[in-house]
Amino acid sequence: MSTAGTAGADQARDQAQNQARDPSHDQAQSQTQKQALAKAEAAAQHAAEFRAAFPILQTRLANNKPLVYLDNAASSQKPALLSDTLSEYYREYNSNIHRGAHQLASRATEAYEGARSTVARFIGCPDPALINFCKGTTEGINLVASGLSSTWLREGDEVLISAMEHHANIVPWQMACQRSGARLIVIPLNEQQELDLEAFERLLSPRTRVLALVWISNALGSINPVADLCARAQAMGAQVLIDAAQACVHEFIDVTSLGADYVVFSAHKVYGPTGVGVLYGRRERLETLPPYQGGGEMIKEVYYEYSTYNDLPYKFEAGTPNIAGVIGLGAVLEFLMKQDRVLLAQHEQALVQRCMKALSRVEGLRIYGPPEHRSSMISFTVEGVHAYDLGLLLDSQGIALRTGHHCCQPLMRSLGIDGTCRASFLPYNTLEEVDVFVEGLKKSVNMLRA
Amino acid sequence: MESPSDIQEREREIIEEFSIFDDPMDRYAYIIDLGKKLPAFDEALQRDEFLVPGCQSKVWLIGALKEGRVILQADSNTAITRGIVALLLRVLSGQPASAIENAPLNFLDAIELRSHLSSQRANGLASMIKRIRALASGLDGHRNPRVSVQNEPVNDSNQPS
Repeated sequence: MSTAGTAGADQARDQAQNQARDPSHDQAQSQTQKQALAKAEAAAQHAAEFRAAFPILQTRLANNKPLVYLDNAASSQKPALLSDTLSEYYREYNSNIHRGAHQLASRATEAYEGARSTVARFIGCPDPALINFCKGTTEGINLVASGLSSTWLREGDEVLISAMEHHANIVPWQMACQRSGARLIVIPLNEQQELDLEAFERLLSPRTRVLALVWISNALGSINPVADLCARAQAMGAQVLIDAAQACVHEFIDVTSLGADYVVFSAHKVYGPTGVGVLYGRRERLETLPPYQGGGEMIKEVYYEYSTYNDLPYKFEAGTPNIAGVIGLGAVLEFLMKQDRVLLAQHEQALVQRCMKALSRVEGLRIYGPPEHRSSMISFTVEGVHAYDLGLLLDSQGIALRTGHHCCQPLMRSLGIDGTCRASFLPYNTLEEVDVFVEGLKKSVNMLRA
Repeated sequence: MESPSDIQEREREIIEEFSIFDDPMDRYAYIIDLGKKLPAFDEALQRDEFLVPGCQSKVWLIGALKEGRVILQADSNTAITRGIVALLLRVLSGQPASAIENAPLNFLDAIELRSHLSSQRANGLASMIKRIRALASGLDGHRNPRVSVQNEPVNDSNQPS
């Protein structure tokens, strides 16, 4: 099997040669072609080096089928340095943090707080105290929704979400509305399955007290213009939460230019461990938001009559946190920030383009989400074929992807389907894997239609 | 007339048929084919009350008692599940209720069916078996009111020819 590097170069070379044969192409264009070729080669080469950091991608499954992992939107794979970091923590300096009067505790605390600074750098946040560790995106959203339901939302207020939210960005707000008497309002999608911006303008009003919006849809791959919508909602007096669960690994997050009141994501989507999430909040918001859970770490003083709460970021970190996981996330993000993420993103787009092109030739296959400006996941259905059957047949060929409603039942209902198959890519995937997937899909479809 | 040991005999046949497959794709092709041969299920009976709970795919299951034997009819909206349903019916339909309730169904492991299913799907398979056993037990003791809709004669073409 050739490497991703040579395959990417081959593809770019083919394109360059095909266009060179065309006499209408002038000198300037062939120069552009050469540059594009060099760029594609560099991207594929860098992606191949990146892939080498992930030992699990060399796995062989039943019947010696090489693993083709295309379920990245559900969870990314992990570089070897993550398990090395976790192992080092447990073998060398396992200890509780912050209060221990011994050397292990100091080392663990230093590593844990170092990870907080790394996360802050990763999302362009100048103050690490605004980074709160939680279990994941779901807990982060629940924390904010629960707090706002008692301090910010009142009867008659409106919470605006979109028609492409994950259940994790629907249900906590539904619960907050039930508690506060606010109403949940849903921004519909347009025909291209993007957010309907005209409807957004219409629905936004002084009653809008919260906008909770997904950056990249996990079911469609649509990318929302979050910074713009955030500014508009804030101008109306609303607080804005951005669900960056998918965006954290595909976009460059800069919370300062984004301007959102809260940004939430999960470590496991960005090559980190499960069980760790990040909640960023603006200082004035986090200071007025009530604590979510009471317990150790989050307090200053405890009396039987009352307690005073700790400062940020400890106020929202009750109990012993996932110390190893947070340190692991820090190590993974340090590694990621050393990569040329622009080149990696370019390779990722090459994968998506190749896959979209090949899938569009499969008869009866329908791709969901916008045709342009989409993230690297492809959600599709095949006429006359059930997604569950496809998932099983692809699995038996070593190809891992997701089938079902992707935790977006209202969205699936509005599209009039039970669910889709979703192939999702990260830069460690190769062009060969795209081809193996497309061939495996065609074989499965033929078998199910026969 | 069939004896209760028929279940084991039918399981043995299935194990033998599946023994020729090395590639799971071939095994699935065969399962899908078995599903296609499942006798037509009346669309009017695709009612929610006959759905097996706990399955990711939709599986409808009904049964009737005929001369002391339980005749099962079933269908699914997905091809592979329909094939799995066909295998279960081939082994269990037409057997006395007591035999159905006690059948160990070892063939499911022997043909490596369970090991290739995700835990969610394996749970679905377990739900199907549980439902078939409950149906048999209900028919046997005439305790299950749901079967009363099944008045028309049911052919037992589920069985191997």
